[in-house]
Amino acid sequence: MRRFALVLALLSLAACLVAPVAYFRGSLPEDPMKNLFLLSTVVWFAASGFWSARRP
Amino acid sequence: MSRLARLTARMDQLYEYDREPVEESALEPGRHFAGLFAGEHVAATEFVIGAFFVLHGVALRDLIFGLLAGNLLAVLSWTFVCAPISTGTRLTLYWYLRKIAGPGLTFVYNIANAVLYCILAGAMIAVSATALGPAFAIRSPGLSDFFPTSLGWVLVTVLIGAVFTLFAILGFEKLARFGGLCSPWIFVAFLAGAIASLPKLGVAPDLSNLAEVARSQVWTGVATEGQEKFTLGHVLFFAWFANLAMHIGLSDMALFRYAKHWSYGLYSAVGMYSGHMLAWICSGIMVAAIGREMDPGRMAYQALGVSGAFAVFFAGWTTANPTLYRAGLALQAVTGWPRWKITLVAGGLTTAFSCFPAVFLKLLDYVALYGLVLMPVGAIVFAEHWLFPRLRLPRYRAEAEGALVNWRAALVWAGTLAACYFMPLHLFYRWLPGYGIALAGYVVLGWATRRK
Repeated sequence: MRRFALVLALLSLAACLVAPVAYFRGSLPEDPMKNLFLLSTVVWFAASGFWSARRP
Repeated sequence: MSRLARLTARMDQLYEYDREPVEESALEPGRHFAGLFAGEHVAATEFVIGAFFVLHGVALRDLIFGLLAGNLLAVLSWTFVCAPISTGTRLTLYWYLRKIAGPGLTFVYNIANAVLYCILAGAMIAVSATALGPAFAIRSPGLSDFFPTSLGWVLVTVLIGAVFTLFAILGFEKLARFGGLCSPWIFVAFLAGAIASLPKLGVAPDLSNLAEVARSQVWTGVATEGQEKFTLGHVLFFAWFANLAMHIGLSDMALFRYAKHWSYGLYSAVGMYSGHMLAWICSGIMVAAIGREMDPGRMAYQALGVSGAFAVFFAGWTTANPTLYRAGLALQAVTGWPRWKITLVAGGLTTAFSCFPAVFLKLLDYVALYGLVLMPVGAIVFAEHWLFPRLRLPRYRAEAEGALVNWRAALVWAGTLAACYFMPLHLFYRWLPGYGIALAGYVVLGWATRRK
């Protein structure tokens, strides 16, 4: 479960970068980019928080 | 027992746990230092510093070469000045300085450090306030503002200061852990904010005109009205002295005493080139995209929406928290009060500073002054550690003689600051000749007062 949380956290962090790159390249409008960034942020804090709390 | 002696004895008790040199078994691996530097140098102030370079009319070439060279000099300062003394003594600056300068002067150093920390934490709160202000329709102060511009600004900074202080009292450790989660995300937010700002500046999706846009719209070489023009030298020196108190001033001895080898100083490059280069470049792009207006909250909000405002807010929070903690620790000795009470006082002081927009709008000058004030102490320790044995001068005389204050060190500290004050140089350049003066002055005084 902890490993899954770590993978999810890393993926969400990557999504935080992918969203503005997609916007910059013209494949994602501005508002969905901001929403995707916000969603990825929430997932990052939830998943990394879970991973961190169960650190031995 | 004099009052100063009583106070210094109380301060000793506070730092009792790290009185002994670090043992071999407690040494940390290199990745620990890489992580620490990466987390510590992507802070709220990065939103301001990089943006200020744009406002000060830094040209693209000056920015790139200045940051590359200045950060390299900072890394070398950690590696060749701070880390070797740290791994040689395995002590914190507090205990090493106590042997050299006496407990009285160490006490003065700690108090000066605490007040400077409070002002820095005040700047972090003010930066966070720019993120929260728009939610209450409060405009951020203008570049020329020194005093609070509105009741709303005061209320927002006081509110944020109160929340930060309360959380610092309730649980420094938990918040430090939260800060650990925040730092990778804040770094990504810097990158994402810059990328999202590129279309607003007219950068083509294939990046074909990136250099052209960077030169013509971001680092144009033309300063904003009322701002001094910065050149390569300003950028280079700023990048070098941005953490002067930590490397040349040796306060990072607390960190590097855990290093297995002095070469671990090179790990500081991780923090310098991510925070003090990449993040500064990113904030420069963001401020250019909002028409060169110094408003960290607005520039992050424009780039990334609500998440951007959160990034500025969290960056301020997570960096103000350890700063508040350190300030509280230093002030605790003066009063002997419990941790919660002294953190409350430090938080109150910090919040009062944060109401003044000058703490972040004059941040570059403040960072220069902060390093300058503490730099002579680093020179004194360097001279006593490296130069005195080679010149066959006696070391640790304050400790051997049981002196409360090493008057030679006090004289050099005060004299160096006085000399720096009158130097006909830009503030950014004064510390370097000042360091030479402090080194030479302390050696000469040590030589003149040696006992045969």
